[in-house]
Amino acid sequence: MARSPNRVLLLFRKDLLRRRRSPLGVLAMIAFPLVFAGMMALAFSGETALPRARLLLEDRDDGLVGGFVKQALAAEQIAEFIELVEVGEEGRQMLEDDEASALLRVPEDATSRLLAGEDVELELVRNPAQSILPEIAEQVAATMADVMSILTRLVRRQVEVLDLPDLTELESFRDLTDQDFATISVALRHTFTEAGSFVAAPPIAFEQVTLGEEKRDEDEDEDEDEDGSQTGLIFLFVLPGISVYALFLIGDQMMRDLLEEGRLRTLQRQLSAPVTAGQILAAKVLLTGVVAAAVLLILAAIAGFVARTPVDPAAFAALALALVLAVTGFAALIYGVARTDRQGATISALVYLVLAFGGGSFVPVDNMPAAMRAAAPFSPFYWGTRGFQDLVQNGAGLADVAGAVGVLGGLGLALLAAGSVLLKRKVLRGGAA
Amino acid sequence: MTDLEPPFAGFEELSASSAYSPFMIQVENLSKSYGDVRAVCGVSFEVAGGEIYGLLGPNGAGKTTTLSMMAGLLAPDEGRIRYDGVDLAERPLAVKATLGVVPQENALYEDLNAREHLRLWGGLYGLSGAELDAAVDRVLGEIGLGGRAKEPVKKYSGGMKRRLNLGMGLVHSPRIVLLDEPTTGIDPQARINVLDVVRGVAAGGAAVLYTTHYLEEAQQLCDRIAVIDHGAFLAEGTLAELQDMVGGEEVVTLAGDFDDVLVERLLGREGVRLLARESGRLVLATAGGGERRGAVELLSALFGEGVKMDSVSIEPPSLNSLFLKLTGRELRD
Repeated sequence: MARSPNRVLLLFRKDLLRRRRSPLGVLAMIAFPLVFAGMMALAFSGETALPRARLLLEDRDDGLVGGFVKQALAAEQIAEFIELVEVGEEGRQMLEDDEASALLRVPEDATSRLLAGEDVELELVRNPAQSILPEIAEQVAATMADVMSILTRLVRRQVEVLDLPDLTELESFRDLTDQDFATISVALRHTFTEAGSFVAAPPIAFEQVTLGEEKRDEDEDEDEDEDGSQTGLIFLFVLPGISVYALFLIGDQMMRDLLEEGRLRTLQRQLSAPVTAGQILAAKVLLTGVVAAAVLLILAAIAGFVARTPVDPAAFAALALALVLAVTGFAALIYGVARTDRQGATISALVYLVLAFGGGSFVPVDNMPAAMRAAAPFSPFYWGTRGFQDLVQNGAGLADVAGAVGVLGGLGLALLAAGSVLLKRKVLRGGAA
Repeated sequence: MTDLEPPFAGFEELSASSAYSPFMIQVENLSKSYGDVRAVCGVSFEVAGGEIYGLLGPNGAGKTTTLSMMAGLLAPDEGRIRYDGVDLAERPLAVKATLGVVPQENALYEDLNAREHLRLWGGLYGLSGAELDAAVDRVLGEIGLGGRAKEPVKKYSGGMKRRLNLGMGLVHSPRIVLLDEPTTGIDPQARINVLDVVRGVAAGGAAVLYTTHYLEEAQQLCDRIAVIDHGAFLAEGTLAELQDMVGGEEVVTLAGDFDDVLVERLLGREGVRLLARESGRLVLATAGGGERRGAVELLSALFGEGVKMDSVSIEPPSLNSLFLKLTGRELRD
């Protein structure tokens, strides 16, 4: 006759099979820390920039005002929000084709009128098919108009001081003499020097602005890399704490099954077979440990993929084992004390939430008030969270996490011993309190 | 030495010990109380191999408590339970290995299929390999679930679950089978199947303890029957012996309003006994020497006096009339 199969393994295999057939609870506990950490990372990594508004500039003036407008809109600070495209008559059609957010027209005689002290009206045509981006373009144009008004006053003062010819009476700039141009150039140089604080770049720097745009593109690429890196860092910072919390919930699910089996009468049926209460309990403890370890490995693999930094395998194994022990011990104690599976679920939900919050699973311990910081080490979540953060972020070794391993392992063993005594009595009563 | 070592050292011991007693199940003075409530009071009986012994009683009579103690799930306050001469309290695991227990509730896992259930339970009782495969196939055939053995239990009908529940208690071919109301809540077809399986088990030499509150089942299936109520045996014997206990009396149940004078006059008649008197209901036993003469004479007298009655029923000697005779209540109540 063949040797009889190990009853603990038979019961363990049965529970594993049941979990495989109904994996939702376990999958949810795997997804929960990933989704939560991912959301936190995205929320705090600064990847929230709005798309740039595409602004068409139709410069009918082709003079000083048009130049000012171009320079102003090409300024680095504005270029963050506005993509400026110079167009001719086709601008209107482009707007109708939804190729831009707005069209800014500089009128034909803008420079002449400005220098004559008259008001110049820039025309902004919004794209009605868009809502937010034309608003951005309008705000930028309005700000630019304010700046130009200040410039105008500066320029006009220079014209008055230097006794320049009445520019408004000229048919064209070609009517100016060389002396006039020299005088105007000096005046404008003074003006732009004074206006330096209002205009981002001097006119002569037009080409540089173009180059600057290329440079800005490079900078943006770097920013994206930095943002990506920052997202990953936040993800890796948040993930350990939430993962530890999820592991405790996994332990809760698995151990709760013992009392559920009592309610479903399958526990009594097992006890009517030649199976001891200790074997039944051992199978559940094994299940809790194995499933928690499997979930931890999956989460660690994902964290490792994101971090792309080597983790000390010995340190990870020791910390994982200690954490699984703590998870199993806590679950055993809670369900050893609870009268029913539902009562146990309520108790564990409250206990784990408080311990997780106090232990820094959700909020970094360093950001807590002094009293809470002092109390944090009394939570197993603190040691689990800190241990895994050290492993993933700081490349900690076995010696570095020895404290966390000792606390979690010792606590887990003690709680498992106490919980097992209570649970065994409960199993012998058929799962009843 | 542990209580149970594969492949159940106790099993051979228990098997060998059966030579010392014709009874495979011996229950002596079994008692169990919950606080002030005595659930089982000094119950004793014996069951031989190949025999189906029925515990017949209404809900709450103490059948399940008795069976739970016999399955080792509940410790008795007093008394002994021996299987093949071995005390359950002394060698619980070795004894349990020889038992097949079928609980009243369907203790099944909704996500597992019939084959997985049977393999699990066969494994827990020490079967493995080809022996386990053969046992599982045999039981699947017996309970008629061979064609749906790979479907999860959650897709099964109530009758199919009942049959699987039964099969799990039989997969290891136990020599002693304890069945707690295995046909409760199933359709007649499934019931016939369950009863056939139980008969087959007994025919194979196993001692079967069968609890039920169905009179017909007990009458059809059981070789001997114990009538139990309020935790105590009221009567025990074969169906014929129990019917003899009724003493040829018929039970006459009268519905209507009867005053004390009339009842006194009826009880003054020869061979008439009062079994129960409730509001609007009078239950009498009549001894009439067969052919229901006692009942006929009683009714003739009532009609002669012009007594108005809403209904009349005459019960021939049966387990129900015995139960009525012993308790004043109908078993169906």
